[in-house]
Amino acid sequence: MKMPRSAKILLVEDNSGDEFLVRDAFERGRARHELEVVRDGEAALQRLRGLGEHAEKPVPDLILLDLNLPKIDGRDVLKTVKTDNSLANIPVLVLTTSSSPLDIENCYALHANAYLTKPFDALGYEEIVDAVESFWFATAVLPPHGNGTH
Amino acid sequence: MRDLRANAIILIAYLIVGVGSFLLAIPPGFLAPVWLPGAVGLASVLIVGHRALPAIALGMFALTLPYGLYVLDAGLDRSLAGSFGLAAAAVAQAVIAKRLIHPGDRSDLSLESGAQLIRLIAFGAIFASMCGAALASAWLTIGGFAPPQLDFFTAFLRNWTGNAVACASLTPIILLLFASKRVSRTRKRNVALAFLLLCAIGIGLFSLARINAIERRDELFNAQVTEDHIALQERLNGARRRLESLEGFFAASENVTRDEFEIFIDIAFGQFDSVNSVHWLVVEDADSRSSHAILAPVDHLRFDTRRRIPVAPGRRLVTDFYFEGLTDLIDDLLASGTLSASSLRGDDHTAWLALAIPAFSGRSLPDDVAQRRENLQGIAIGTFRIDAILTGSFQRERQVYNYRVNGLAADGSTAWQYGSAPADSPLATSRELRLGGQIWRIDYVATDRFLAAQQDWVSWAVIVVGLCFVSVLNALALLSTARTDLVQRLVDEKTVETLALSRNLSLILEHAADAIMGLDADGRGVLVNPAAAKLLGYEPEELTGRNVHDLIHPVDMDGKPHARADCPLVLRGRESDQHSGVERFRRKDGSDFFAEYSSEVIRDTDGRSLGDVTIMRDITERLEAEADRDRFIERLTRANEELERFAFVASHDLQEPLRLISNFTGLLASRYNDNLDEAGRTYIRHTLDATVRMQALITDLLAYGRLNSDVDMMNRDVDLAQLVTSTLDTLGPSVQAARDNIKIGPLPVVRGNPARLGQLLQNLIGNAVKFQPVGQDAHITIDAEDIGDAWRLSITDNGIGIKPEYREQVFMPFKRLHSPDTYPGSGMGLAICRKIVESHGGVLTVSDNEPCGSVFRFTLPKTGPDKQDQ
Repeated sequence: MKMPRSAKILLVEDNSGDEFLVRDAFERGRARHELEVVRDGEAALQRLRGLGEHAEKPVPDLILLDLNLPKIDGRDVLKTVKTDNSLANIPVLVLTTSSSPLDIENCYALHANAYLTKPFDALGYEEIVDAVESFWFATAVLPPHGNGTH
Repeated sequence: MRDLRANAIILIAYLIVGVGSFLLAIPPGFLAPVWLPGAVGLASVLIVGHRALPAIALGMFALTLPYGLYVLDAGLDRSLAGSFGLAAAAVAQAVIAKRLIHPGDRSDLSLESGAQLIRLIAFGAIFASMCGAALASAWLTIGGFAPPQLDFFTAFLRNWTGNAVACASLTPIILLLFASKRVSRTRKRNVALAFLLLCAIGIGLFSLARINAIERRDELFNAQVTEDHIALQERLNGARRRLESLEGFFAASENVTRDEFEIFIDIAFGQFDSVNSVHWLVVEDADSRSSHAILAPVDHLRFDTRRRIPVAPGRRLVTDFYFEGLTDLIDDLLASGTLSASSLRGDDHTAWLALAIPAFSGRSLPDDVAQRRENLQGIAIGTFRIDAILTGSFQRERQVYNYRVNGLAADGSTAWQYGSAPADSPLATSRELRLGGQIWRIDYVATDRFLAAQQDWVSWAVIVVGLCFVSVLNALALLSTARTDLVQRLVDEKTVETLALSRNLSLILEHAADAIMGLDADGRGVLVNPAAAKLLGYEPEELTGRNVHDLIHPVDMDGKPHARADCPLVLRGRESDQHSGVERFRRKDGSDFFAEYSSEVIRDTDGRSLGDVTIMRDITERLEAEADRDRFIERLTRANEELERFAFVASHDLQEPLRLISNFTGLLASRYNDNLDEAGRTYIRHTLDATVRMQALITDLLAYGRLNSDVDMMNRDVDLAQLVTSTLDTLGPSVQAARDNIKIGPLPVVRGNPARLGQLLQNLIGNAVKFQPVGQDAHITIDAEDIGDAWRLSITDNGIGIKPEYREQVFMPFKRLHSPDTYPGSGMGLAICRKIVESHGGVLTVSDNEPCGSVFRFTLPKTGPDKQDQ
C-alpha cells in the first residue's frame, strides 16, 4: 500500500447492522484504517467540528455518510460539511439504501464526492470497500490533514 | 301594356292641359301665353323616356287639328298637314330635351340639387322649346298653314315664350308629384290639392275679371256704335231736310229756270258731299212741255231718255232720270204723301239710295191718293252714295267695327244689301234704320283691333303669372319639404326602432337575474332594476336619487369603513373605464354579502363622465362553495400526499431491514456454508430468493411512488422514434434477440418527460416480449396515428393476450395474472405505465389483437402534459 499511515474514516451510520458489515468489510480489506462511528447527524457534526468529547480528535480523511439519520438528516450534514470551509475538503461518500434519482442528484448537487448504494448481497460491502480503498487510499491523493487535530 | 297605359295617361293629361291652354289663349289671334302641353310633354319624356313620344305626337295632333279646321277655317288637308308638322315639332322638342337633360336615374328627377333644376330650366324649358318653336313656326309659315298675317318671327316668339313659360313653371311640380320618391304620397296629395285649389281660385277670379271686362267692352262698343248710328241718322235727316227745302223752292215759284235750280241746289247740297244727283221731276199736263235738268249727273248712274210717267188722268210726270223701281218709289210717295226712300241700288261699289219728296199744290196735303195725284206738282229726288253717307257718319269704322247693311222686308226677312263684316266675331250689335218707309238693319261687328285694344291685359297677366307662380311655389314647397319628409320618415323609423329597443332593454332589465344599477356622476342612483333592489333589500325608489355608495357599500372587503372617494367602484380618475372585481356590499337590513361586480363609465360625446353602470351578482354562496371545495381538495391532496409519502417512506424503510436480512443471510451462506447441512443451505437459499423478490417489489413500489415527485421534468420535446430505439438498446438479451421482429412505424415528437416515457416504452415492449408462449418468437409492431389533438400510439404483440375480465385488473398495483415462476415480475409494471400515461394527460388501454396477443394503446396530447394536468 502506498499509504504509510492508517486512514481515518468517519462512518455516520445509525444502523448497527450496517456498521457491522462496513467494519467487517474494512477489516477484511487491505488498508490500514481507523474506523470511527457516530450514530446520528448531530454527533457527526460535533465530531467534525471537534466539539465536546471530540475536542482532541483528528480530522477524518474520509466520511462515509448515510442519508437517513436521526436528529440531523444526512443530507443536511452533507450540506453543512460542504459549506463549511474548514470541512469542505474532506471527501464525503454517501452510502445509503436509497436509489432514488432525486437523492442522487441532490447529493451530487451538494458536492458529495461519491454516491454509493448499500448492496443487497453479502459480498457487496466487500466490493465497495475494496473499490474505496483502491481509489481513495491507493489511487487518489487526499487533502493534507496530517494527524492534525482541531 | 305598360306603355299603352302610360301613353293613355299622358295623352289624357296632354289633351286636358291643351284645352286649358286654349281657354287661356288671348283673342284676337289667340296667343297662348302658357302652352301647358309643352310642360306635360317634357315631364313625361323625362319620367318614362321615349315611350311617351306617341302620346305627345297624338296629343299635339288632336289639339291642333280642330283649331285649324274650325278656328282658322283652313280646310281639311291644310289642317291635317299643319297639325302633322306641329306634332313632329313637339316630338322633336321632347327628344332634344331628353337628350340634353338625360337623367341618369329617377333620383335625378327629384330636383334636389340646384344643378338639376338649372339643367331642367336651361335645357328643357328654354333651349328645347326654342328648337320646337322654331320648327313649328317654320313649318306653319313656310308651308303656308298659318293665317296670312302671322309671320315666322311672331309665330316663333309666341310659340317659344308660351312653351318656355309652361315648361319652366309646371314641369318641376309634375316631376316632383309623379317621379320623386323622396316626397311622401301624403305630401304629394296635399300639395297637389293645394295646387289645384289655388289654380281653381285663380281661374275663378280670372273668369270674374274676364266677365267684367267683357261687359265693359261691350258697353263701350254699344255706346260707340250708337253714337255713330245716330250720326248716320242725322246725316240722312240732313239729306231729307235739303230735299224738303227743294219742295218749298218749287212751291214758291211757278217756273224755275235750270240756272235758278242749279244755283239753289248748289246752295242746298253744296256741303253735302255724298249727294250724287238731285232731280226735280215736274208734273205737267198732257200738253205742257217743261222740264228740269239734273245736277251733277254721276257717270255710273244710267239714265234713260226722257220719260213721261202718268200720275193722274191728263197729268204725267216728266223725267229724264229713271231707274227701275222709280215708279214704285212714286207710288210709295203718293201713298205716304211724304219722304220716301228707295231700296239700295247699284252694286257693292256703287251702291246708292234715292230719296224722293213730293210737292203738292195747295196749302195742305190732300187726304187721299187720287186727290194727291191730282194735286201733285212735282217730285224732288236726290240720289246719295251709300259709301259716302256711311263713311261720313262712321267716325270709328274699321277701328272699332265693320258693318253690314241688311234690308228688312215687311215679312221680317232680311237680305244683305251692302257692307262686309266677318260673321264670327265675339262682339257684334245691330241697329235699325228707318227712312222714307224703308227699314234697314245695320250689323256692327267689332274689329280685332277694337277687341285687342279693349283686351284686359292685367287679368291675363295675373292669371298667367299667378299660375306660373303657384306651380313654381308648390314645386319649391315640395322640394323643400322632401328633405323634411325624408328626415321625418327616418325619425319615425328610428323612433319605432328605439321604442322597440327600449322595450326590449327594459324587459331585459326587469328580468335580468343580475343586479343592474345606473349611477350618475355624483353616485346617485338613476336606474335600479328589480334584481338589484331585491338583492339589496330595498325598493327601487329608495335607491334612486340617493347616494348609493353610502347605503350599500359602506365597508371594504375587510369590513373597514371607507369613503366613497376610496371606493373601488367609483371609477373617476381610473385609467380604464371598465372595472370589475369582488366587493362586500350591505343590505338594507345591515347584513353583508359578497358580490362580483363589473362597472363601466358612461361618457357623453365630449368624454365627460355621466356616471357608471354597475352589474353585480351575489357570490356569497359561490364563495362558500368554492371555499368548501378548496378545503376538500386541500384535505384530499394532503391525504394523498401523506399516503404517497407513507408508501414511499414505508417502502424505503422496508428496504433497510430487508437489505440487512439479505446481507447477513448472504454472509451466513458464504462464511458458514460448510457448517450447514443441506437443509440449512436450502433454507438460506429460499430466504435469499424471498429477499430478492421482496426487493423487486419494493423497488417497483418506490418507482411507482416516485412518479409524482418529478413533474418538473414533464415538458420536454421527446422524439419517440429515438426513444424507442434507445429503449430497445437498454432492454435485456431476450428483446435484442427479438429485435428483428419488431416493426416500428413513423413516430411523432411529443411533449413529456423522456425518462418516464422511456420507462413506459420499456415496460410495454418488455411485456410484449416477455408474455409469449414457450417457444414462440415475439412479433411486435409499434405505431402511431394522429387523432386530432393527440397522438395515439399502439404496441401490438402476438403474445398470450389478456382475457377480457382481467383487462382492468392488470393496471392495478401488484396485480399479477401468472405466478412469478412462469412470468417473473412484481406486478407493478402496468400500474406504473398507466400512471405515466395519465400524468402526461393520456389514456392507456388494452385490447385483443387478432388472432392472438394484445394491443396496448395510449394517447399523448399534442399540447403537452402541463396543460392537461391543470
